[in-house]
Amino acid sequence: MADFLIAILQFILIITIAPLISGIIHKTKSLLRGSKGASIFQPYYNILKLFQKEVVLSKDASWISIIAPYIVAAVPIVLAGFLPVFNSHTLFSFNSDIIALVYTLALGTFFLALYGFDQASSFGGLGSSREMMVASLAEPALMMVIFTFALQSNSTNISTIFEHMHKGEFLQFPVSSIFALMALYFVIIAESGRIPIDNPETHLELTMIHEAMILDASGRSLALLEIGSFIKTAIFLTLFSNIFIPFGLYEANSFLAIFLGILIYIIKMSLLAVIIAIGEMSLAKLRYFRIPDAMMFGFVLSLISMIVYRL
Amino acid sequence: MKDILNNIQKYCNEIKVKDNFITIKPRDIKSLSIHLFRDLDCDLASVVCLKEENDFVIKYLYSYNKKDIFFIVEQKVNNSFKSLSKEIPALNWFEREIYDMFGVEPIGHLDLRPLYIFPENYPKDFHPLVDSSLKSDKSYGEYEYKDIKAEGVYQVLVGPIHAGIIEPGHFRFSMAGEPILQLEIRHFWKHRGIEKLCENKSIDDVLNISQKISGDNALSFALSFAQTVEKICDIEISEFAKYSRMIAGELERISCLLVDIGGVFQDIAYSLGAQHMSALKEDIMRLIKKLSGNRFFKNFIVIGGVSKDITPFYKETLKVLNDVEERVKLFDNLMENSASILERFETTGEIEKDIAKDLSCVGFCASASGRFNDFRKIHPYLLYKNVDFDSIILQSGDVYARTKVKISHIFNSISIIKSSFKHISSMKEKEKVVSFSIKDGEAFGYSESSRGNIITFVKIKDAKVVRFKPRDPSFMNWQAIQFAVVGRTVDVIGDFPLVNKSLNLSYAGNDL
Repeated sequence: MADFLIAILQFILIITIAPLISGIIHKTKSLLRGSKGASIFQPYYNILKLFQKEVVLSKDASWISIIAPYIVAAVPIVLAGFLPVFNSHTLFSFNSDIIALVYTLALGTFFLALYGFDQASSFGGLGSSREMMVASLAEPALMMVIFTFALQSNSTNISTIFEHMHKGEFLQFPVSSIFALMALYFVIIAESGRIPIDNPETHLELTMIHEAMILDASGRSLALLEIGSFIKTAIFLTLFSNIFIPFGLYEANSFLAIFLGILIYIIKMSLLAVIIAIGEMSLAKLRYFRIPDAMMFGFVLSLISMIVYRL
Repeated sequence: MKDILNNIQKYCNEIKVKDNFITIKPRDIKSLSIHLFRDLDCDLASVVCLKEENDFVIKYLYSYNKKDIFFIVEQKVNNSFKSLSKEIPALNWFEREIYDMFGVEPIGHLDLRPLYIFPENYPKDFHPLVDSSLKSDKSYGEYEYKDIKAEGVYQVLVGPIHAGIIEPGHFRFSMAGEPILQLEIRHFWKHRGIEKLCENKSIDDVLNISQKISGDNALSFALSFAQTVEKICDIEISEFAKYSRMIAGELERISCLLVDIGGVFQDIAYSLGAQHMSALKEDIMRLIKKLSGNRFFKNFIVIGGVSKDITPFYKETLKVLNDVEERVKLFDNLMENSASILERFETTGEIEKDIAKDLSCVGFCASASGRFNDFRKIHPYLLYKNVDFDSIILQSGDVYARTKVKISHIFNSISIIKSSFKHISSMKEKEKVVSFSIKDGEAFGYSESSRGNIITFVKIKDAKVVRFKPRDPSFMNWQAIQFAVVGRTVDVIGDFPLVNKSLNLSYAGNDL
């Protein structure tokens, strides 16, 4: 029973903290630029506001536009139940397979791309085609990183991998891990649509990737799509933090351990958000046809990571 | 000078020389125009059509770039004239404009679709500068676009209503995947009828209107108009006023160029640079407010001089300018040392020298493409002869070159302001306005704004302005933008906003 409660708690934690990451990134960027910036809780207010607004649909929209936002939001929410945050007991720990996680996420991306096409706006189509390109380029790098850790821990179960890393195995192959870390960072930037791959703050429709697909979304649909992308980013960052910052995963069920786990998790996530923000500040967005080069670099890093491990 | 005149002699009936303006009545306008445009490598500066009793007079203004000379080619036409836009592509929009406004048809023009008088809004044969009364409110059709129709080619329509807070402009891309096959621009959505509005207005009224043509270039337009009027009326303004006007013009230039540079940083998602540039721009605007009482230098220029004495703010101006200089230098360095920024700027949106020549591009757009037509140097006005500055010319014509030219303009402006300010603060006699009387006549005048030269034509009769025709630099440069992005492998549609921003053209000045 205690395990189940912990699992529920972890699940809720990921979902509630997800918008905060975006808030922290935005706040950090604003502070670095010398402006005040919105509160770090602004994404929550935005979602709340959007849920109260009505949905406006294009007359060309089909049923895809109606169901896609739910699927895009539901997929990451379900996957949040796969992921150990501060304890290895998760809602779906019986089959929390990391390969299943990655490819289920792709289902959300697929429906998001359909949504972009469905409202017959030319920007949406552009966005969808770009998103699919980025997603397909990010995938091999991500899989390579995952295989590296799966080989290390002899399992594709996320909980097992995390436990393995937290027992100090990280230090066993430091070079391999550092390459994997860099590769995974590339993937996270690409999948969550941050600079230099995509610019979430832009108003220029012609340059957008993720934003172009949701240009026509409004009200509840937009809120769901936003939630979907927030949680997706949170899942990737949780994966990243639990593999490369191996603190705070406790087997104990005491209140102290849970409290400490949550605290450390929030600190880790905030830290990553700040790192992403600093990275964004110092880079310009890539040219569209440079994205394959960047993603290829990520793939090569992940490949090196695996080779180094096998040596 | 003599050689030039001798050469021209064979094309014309009559030559009049007044100051640096050579007025020519040609025998064969086509060969003369080609001689001026190609052999002498003049830029087309402006074209003005005037209605006379029974016919029309078209005046073509060419600017000679190697010496301080202008050529005015005059031709009298009835209800049609021979189009020269095939030989001189820069004439394209001017001829369409004349057709719209006066109903005088340029025969042989390849694209006579309406420029201002949209078929969706106006009846056929409505030519406001001849007769502005609407005889019916029936529209007569729809504007025809030249979309490419083929398998796999799709159209991306941007505007006229945009996501950002900018003016209206319709961009129509025919795309095959990411590369742009064709870009068609349709502008002139908010035509205000400024030329019509200024007919038979007093000079002060027109001066007031001229400041509202293009918001950020308010001072340059006023300056251009005031200088034209002063030329017609033989007003020689005081040295103090001349230096004051120069300082004002350069401050306006800095404020505009800071926005431009911030804009290109913003468009490549380098928000740190963008934020700093807009902060600096705000500093400059606050300084301008202090100097003149208005953030855009409105009402600073009056006929015969300037309205305010700016010398009490010498120290404050220096302080702001030093800060601007330091921080622009910092970001210039940052840009030069950042691979990720250079990667976006270099080779993006290249405008070739030939294109810049054919379309008579002006301002930093021309300087970045290896052509130079900074009127402050070529046709010095005010006291630009007395100040020392070097305008750089780059050849690559890309976003990087344009940004570099803008940065060098900022440094130039700062040094011009510093030396001019020093000059006027030590002056004992601070004569703001000279007394004058209004005379009749007509003339072309000009000033160099942040985007390039502004040409103004003014005709005064009985102390009223009967014809006012300003030409914004954007009117020349807008047509170059499609050549910067179409048919290129390095630039895809995602780069268009950056190219557009690097040219930072005015919609309002373009659409009078």
